[in-house]
Amino acid sequence: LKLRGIIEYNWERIKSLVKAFDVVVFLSVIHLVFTSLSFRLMQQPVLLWPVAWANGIPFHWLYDLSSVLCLVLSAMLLMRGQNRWIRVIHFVSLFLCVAVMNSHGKIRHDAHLMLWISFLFLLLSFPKAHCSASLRTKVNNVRVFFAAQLFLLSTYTLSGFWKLQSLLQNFLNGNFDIFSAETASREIAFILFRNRSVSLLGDWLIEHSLVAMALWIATLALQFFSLAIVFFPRCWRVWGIALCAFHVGTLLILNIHFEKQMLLPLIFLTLAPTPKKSDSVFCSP
Amino acid sequence: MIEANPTPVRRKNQVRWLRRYFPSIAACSVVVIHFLIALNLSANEHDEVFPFFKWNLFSSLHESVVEFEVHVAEFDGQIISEKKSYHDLANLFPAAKSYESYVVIQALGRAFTTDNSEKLKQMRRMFESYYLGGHTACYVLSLVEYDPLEKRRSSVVQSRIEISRFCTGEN
Repeated sequence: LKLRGIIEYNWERIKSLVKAFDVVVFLSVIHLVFTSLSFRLMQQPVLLWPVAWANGIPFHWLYDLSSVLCLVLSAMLLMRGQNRWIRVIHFVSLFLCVAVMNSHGKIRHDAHLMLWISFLFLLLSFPKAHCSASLRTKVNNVRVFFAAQLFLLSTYTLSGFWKLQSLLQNFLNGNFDIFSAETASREIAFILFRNRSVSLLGDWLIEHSLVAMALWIATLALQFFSLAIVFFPRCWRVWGIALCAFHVGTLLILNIHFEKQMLLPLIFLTLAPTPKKSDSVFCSP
Repeated sequence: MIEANPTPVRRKNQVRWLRRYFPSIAACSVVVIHFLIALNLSANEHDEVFPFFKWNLFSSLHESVVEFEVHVAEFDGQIISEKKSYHDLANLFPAAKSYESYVVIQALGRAFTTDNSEKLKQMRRMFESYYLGGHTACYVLSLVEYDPLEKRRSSVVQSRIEISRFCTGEN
């Protein structure tokens, strides 16, 4: 009975978080469509494989069609997110829309997480109207949500892993100059120069290399240990806020906009129900 | 021991077991498969297969940066004597300040140096029609090496090697 109560509580909470995720998807689609508007009149796009079949169709037609379809289906998802068919059709439209919006020679990665988590949420099953979900369905849904959490955290760990690998590679190659205090400042200077952008804190951090290095090491630790945090539910809230702060930091320091991703750690970690020892989601009802 | 022909009761149990655990197994498989693919994409750094990504954002560390650069030598029949990077010509080309233009120039340079004529043709077509705004222009592709901190302080580059010159409408 106690387990049943806990699963009910977790599922009710997760249902609201799935809804919050759908809202984020809707806002992200609007953001994606408007930030890609400058590419609409492109004459010679390099279409990504999911939309390669549309080669020959004017790009602005593809752009208009995919964005309208995706926007309408995202709005429908907000209203009828419990219908699996709407989820499936929405996912297909989102997949095609993101592919079209990235067919200009550079693949942006700010919509990838949204896409993959939408794919995972196809596995959620909701009861028909006026019926309550069985306990087994609820347990499965809790597990799918847990998998989405794992997915989110694994991407941060991968990001930390490649940074660590780069450090190790330099060490093994005897390139010890890379371990100087100026390395982080140099990276900030490089990214700002490469993007031809100016940021609020970038210039200050380039001149204060020790602070920049400390922030870089903190970021590395935050990212690399993200996956391990799964085993420490008490830290989820703080970790979610820290990851969100990391995105705010990259915006202020590097002027890199990952707005679509910024809210996901809050939904999947800070607001997520934290399991206790007695209510393992792996327990079968 | 695996039975060759399971009894109907056992088969029913197997189906029930699969139905019970399918969403969990499928969800975990997606996470694991994505993680493994992301780890193994390392060998092929520049050719990304959408929607997979290895999440190596800002992972490289540089003492000095070696990259391709484009400067426009002729624009609508006028010779531009000052050697300015394409990215600094936002007054002529609105797309010049975008990060996408940087990525396309790097892809163009890589295609040229690796003799990938198909990719080079594709990148040139895109660069000339969109990033050069459809103007008639001649541009020089160079390989530059610089220390980002030095460049920021004094605009000095360590070396610049001109690789090739292209004109719009030429093959």
